[in-house]
Amino acid sequence: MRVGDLLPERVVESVDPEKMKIAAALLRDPNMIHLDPAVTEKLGMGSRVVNQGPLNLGYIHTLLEEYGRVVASRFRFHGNVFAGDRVVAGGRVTAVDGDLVDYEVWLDVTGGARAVSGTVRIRRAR
Amino acid sequence: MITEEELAGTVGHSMPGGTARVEHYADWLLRDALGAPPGEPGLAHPTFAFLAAQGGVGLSLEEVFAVFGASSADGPMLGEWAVDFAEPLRLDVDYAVTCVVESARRKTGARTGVFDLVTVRIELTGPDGTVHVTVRPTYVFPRRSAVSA
Repeated sequence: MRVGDLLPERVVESVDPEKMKIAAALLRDPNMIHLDPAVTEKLGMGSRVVNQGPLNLGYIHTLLEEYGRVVASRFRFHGNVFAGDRVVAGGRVTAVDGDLVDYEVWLDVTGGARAVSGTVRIRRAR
Repeated sequence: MITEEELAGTVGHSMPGGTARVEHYADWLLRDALGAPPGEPGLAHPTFAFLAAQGGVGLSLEEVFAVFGASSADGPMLGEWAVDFAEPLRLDVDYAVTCVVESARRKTGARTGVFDLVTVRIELTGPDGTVHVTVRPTYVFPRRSAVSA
């Protein structure tokens, strides 16, 4: 693992609105933009429900979890991810200090914009 | 609308807090929602820190917004989110949760107009009495009724 190395991307081919229902229950999130397309339509957000922010950063955490334990992460949310979107989580090594590895990370919507950016530090699995 | 002085006065304000416990089935459900494989035995998916922290604040999101003179009708957003794990988040362990307002500042954007950025610090303390997980969400509150300085 060297500075500049890119992680193999983690791809969600189509963000599933059924998973948002599970997330809404887990988060106790009453916002109907995650559940009811009629609500997003009424709000002028289009006809697709909006993925929860924690799921968006969760795709990135899941990518990093393959390489070790997450010990810190910072995320900035730039835009929405909608049901049916194809999203790609990626990362690049920015520093290595013993078993600690720092990454620049992102979640991009294919054909769209960057939805999340940030940094993650992991402790590599031994 | 809350004044800039009132906003600054929220720094140091403590939410009621409470407890958090990640049940193994809930971790399974989150992993299923994320398409994530099973994790290390006994450890929660790192994203569960988000759920555990938010659930332990002791207030609903609407009540949290009200502390800053806002409501969901104002269109508040989660702008940033951060977590630090001194210890991994463990399944089926009871954590004490505290939440305090760490920073609150008013800003003006060329396109967005006036908005407030509020960061709260949520700490999950384990059975050993030490802080295992620190979570910092930063909320963005648009202040559409404000006049830009």
